[in-house]
Amino acid sequence: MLDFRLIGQYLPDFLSALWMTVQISLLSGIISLILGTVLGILSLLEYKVINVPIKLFNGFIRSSPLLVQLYLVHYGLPALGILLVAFQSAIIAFSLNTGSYISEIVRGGLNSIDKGQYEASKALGLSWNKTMLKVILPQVFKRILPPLISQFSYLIKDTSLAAVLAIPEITYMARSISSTTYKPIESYGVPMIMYFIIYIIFSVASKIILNAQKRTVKENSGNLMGKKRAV
Amino acid sequence: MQEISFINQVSRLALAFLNNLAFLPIVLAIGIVIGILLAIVRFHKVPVLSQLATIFVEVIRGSPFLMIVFVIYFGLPYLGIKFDSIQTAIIVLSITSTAYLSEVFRSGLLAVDKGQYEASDALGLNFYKKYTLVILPQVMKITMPSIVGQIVMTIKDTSIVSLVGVVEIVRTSRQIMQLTHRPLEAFGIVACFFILVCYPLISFSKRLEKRNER
Repeated sequence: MLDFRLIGQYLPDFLSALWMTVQISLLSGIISLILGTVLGILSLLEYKVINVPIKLFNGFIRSSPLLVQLYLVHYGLPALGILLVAFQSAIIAFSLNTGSYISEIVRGGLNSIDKGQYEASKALGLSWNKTMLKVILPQVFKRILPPLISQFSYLIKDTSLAAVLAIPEITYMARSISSTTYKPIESYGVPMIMYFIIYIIFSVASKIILNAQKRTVKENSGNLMGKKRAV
Repeated sequence: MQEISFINQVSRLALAFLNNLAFLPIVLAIGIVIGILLAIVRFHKVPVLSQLATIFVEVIRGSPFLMIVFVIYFGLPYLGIKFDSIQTAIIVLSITSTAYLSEVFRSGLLAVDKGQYEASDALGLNFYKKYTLVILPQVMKITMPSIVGQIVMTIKDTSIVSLVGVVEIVRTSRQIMQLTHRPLEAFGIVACFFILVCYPLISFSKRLEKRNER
């Protein structure tokens, strides 16, 4: 039987662990979004000096395990004289990792924007900054919202690796509570449910947005066809 | 501080990396076979079984890899089920690759043209022949890029089972680091080994994807 008294007793610990996971995910999410957008735009400029390092960085991040990247940041940077608290190492490693994936998503989004949009902004006399901020990026983000959301849901799952650095987030808490209470079902069940709820929220959100986008595309094409017929 | 020559480090890590790669054949075989079965069960909406398969796939996809490792290695022994670290590694890697691959195969089954199913039914092929001769070869071709992607994921995930004591490259590199106190060198070599194997696979997967688009 489930021991609800035990769950009640440890609920504050579970909730504080959840809050830690949320903090890590939010912080790295925001940083990686900025990093990914900047890298995505830079890689579109087609300067070799910028493109080659970005390609190397992306290749490195994609083909090595996150755990190794985390170790490289946490143990490697102090060797270079940059001292870090575990929390900072985790944020840096997760931001770099997710930032690289987001940069590819942003690049794909930028490529999918019609060339006419750039030409129209130029014809309107908009500066490059304004073209990007007011015309291109809003369209890009609207389009890439579903893959961005699933990337964030991967990020939340990946933050479980912060347990390796003894950061008291959900996975670490599950392990430590199970080793003090000897009740595996309660101490692993509650965190699993927490992760699962987060996962469901994200995947449902992604699906709703995807469907809404499909609908607007259909409506738009329907309108076009209607107009054509009227002509 | 103990001196370990660079060459010595590389050769020790290379040997350890073989342990990581040794998981691949069995894990992939399990993942592909059970993944296909789950995908077919869900595709045909077999009552009860397909719901169970969906719950399994979604729960695994929703939980972090490390969490599943902890549950199997630290959680199950309290219930009287004990696995050593290598068994845990094989079980967890198989479970996750099965869940992800079954999702891949399901989208592959959906992508095969409906006419193919109808044609094989019209030819009077039985269920087994329909799938092995007509549908699955096409599914394999469609899903090849994602299967290669899953292989990369599995290789990268083998690093995480080091945390429950499997002797592999990341664990060995930590031991070397504790002797040499040169983390950048030790973990840098580890990253290089992973890149050496995974980068070509990722490019291969991208090339397959482009070929499928044509």
